[in-house]
Amino acid sequence: MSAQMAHPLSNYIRKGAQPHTHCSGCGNGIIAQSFLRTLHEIGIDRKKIVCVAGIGCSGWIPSPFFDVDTLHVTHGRPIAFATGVKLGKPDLEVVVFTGDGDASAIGGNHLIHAARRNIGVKVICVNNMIYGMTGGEVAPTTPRGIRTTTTPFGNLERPFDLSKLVIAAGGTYVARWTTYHVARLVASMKKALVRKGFAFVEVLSQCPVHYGRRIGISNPVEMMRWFQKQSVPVERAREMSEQELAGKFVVGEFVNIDAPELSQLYAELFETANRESN
Amino acid sequence: MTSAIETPKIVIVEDLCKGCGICIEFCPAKILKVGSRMTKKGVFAPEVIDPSKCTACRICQYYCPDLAIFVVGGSKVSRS
Amino acid sequence: MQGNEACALGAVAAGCRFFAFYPITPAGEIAEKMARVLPKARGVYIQMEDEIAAIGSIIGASWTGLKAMTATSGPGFSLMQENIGYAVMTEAPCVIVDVQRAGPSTGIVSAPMQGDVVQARHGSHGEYDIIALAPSSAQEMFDITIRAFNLAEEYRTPVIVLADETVAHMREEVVIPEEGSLTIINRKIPSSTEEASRGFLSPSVAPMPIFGMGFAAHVTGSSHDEYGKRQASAPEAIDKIVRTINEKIRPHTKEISTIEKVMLDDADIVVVAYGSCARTAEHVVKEARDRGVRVGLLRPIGLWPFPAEAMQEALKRARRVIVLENNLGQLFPEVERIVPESAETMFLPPQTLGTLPRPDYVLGHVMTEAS
Repeated sequence: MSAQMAHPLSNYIRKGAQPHTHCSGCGNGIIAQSFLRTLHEIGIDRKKIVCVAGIGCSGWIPSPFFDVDTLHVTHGRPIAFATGVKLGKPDLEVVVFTGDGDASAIGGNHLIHAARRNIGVKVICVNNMIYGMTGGEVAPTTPRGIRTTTTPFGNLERPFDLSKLVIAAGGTYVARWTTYHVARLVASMKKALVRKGFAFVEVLSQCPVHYGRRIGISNPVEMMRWFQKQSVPVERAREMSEQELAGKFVVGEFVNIDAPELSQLYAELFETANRESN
Repeated sequence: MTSAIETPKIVIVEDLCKGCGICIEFCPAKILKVGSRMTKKGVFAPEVIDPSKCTACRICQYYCPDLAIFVVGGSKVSRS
Repeated sequence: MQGNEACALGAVAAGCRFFAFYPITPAGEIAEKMARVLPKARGVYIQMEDEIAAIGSIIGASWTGLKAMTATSGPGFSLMQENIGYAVMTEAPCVIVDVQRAGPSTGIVSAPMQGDVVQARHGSHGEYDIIALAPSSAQEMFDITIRAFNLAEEYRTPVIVLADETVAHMREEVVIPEEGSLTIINRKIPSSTEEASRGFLSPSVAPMPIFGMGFAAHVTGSSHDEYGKRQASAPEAIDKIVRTINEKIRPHTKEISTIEKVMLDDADIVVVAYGSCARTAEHVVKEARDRGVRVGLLRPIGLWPFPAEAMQEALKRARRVIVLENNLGQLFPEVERIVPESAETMFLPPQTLGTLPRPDYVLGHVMTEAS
């Protein structure tokens, strides 16, 4: 194959990392490409990108697929590690890839504090509403009533609205899309990377094997059509009642505000610390 | 680099395709179909029905989870 | 100054520029000092949401090239174990100060105990090697913290400073050397992308492909090869990892884990003690000598890797070995194993666990052994 025939994003892909190990039709692949497109279109210096991945299928988006500095850490903790990376070298672009379980169950504490701190870490949260990697256990985002491997009688619990959680924690950029909305997803990822502060981009993503199957939509194409059909833009959702919104995915940019970013505050502190006596 | 007159070429990298069918479903021009021949990987990669009808919208390219299909040339290209 | 304060100053003198902490007694003073001095040295003091985030963030900072430290006590040390294993696995230099207190569980927050010794060695899951040092004075809180950083950088490993509440809170004279007179070791950084690509698993310690240099390092806690490439199913890969980590550290035990010998040359009876117990032991040894008993003190400063060879050599003339620990015998089995067959070994905890052993109590046992 001549150089002209290489995929336009092939420079960002680690040698030998293709084909990646996601299932056929997995939304993770769409998110991976959307991110690489974002990098490509913004033109970020690859040397400056650090991807921090949690444990779960979402962790395999950057690891080993992306040819950038990659830190694949322990379950639930990428945001904590990423905080250290960002404060260690503030001019790096630090992006976390995490799943719904990784970010809101075991990692919930780190998520809310990163949002609160407004540390300039960008969190791409892949929400497939299930624990896919371990075979399909119920997650904090699984809707009530769904039968999973560990809720054989139906899930008794209410799910999180992850974006709402991060908004409540003070997230200064919070957006949610689905893998159907690739153009909007790339636009949000660009905003997330370009801005200084914290960013949370939630992406509803199809897991046909472990979630789709349990809701009778075992085909990735069908799941994406389901996302399309069930998505409601936030502007329209504001006019709708709770009942009308039941089972729907509210998508869009929820918060986009400016606030002092933590590593910048430290830089300022370094200047003033020697002047203060304590 | 782009040429408005150039005919887009759809490149399918069979070895990377997992046969998910997403590109076939979402092509607005409906010019992709399930291939008739099984690839080395044991899936049916897409085949182009009529390349002349490709508008280079790149929906197949942007949706492909495996980066196994992309469009070269055509009227719309992403900035390089 | 206070031991904890000295620890903080030692860290900064060693080049620490990132300190993450979650409040816990009796480590608080380390954090309070770091919060004041680090920003003046352009270092980050951050209080994280829990100990897991504290250890996680220092490893992240370590991967950007910074010398990073956290401090905690038993309950926090327990929480940190998973990520300590991650630091071992990814060969990330960092220092963890565990100011041991009386446990288990919440225990007594401001009472000394030496109950985390085995935990320091094997607190994380899986098979691995690690370095742990035990200071026994405020001066050593300064010196050994510096040593901990140097060892962490040299061997690309987390290093635990196993202090205890007494050593942390005691106030003693601390001599701070002239700036520039300290020996400071820094990790090797690759000088080319080619060298950087083999960023892991060299028994002689691979140069660390830190972030932001264009190395596109792939760092994972999964089983991997020397290129950082995940080797998720081949048992040979994990075999190589475990053995290489072992090979990185164990053959250098003599250099890593030092010991102190006090009046051992002609000693029939040897008291083995570390940390705050060594202070009692030192006093007891002098008292006993005054009474004509040939007794000496053998103080391991490096607990892990256990300095078996050096200890064995030091104990070869002993007739009786008394291991004094503020627990129910955590270093004791290691000592007992290397004591010469001709000698008898006994284990002696303090009169009450969770208190400093009383000199008269220990002296009583020494005199009994002597008769």
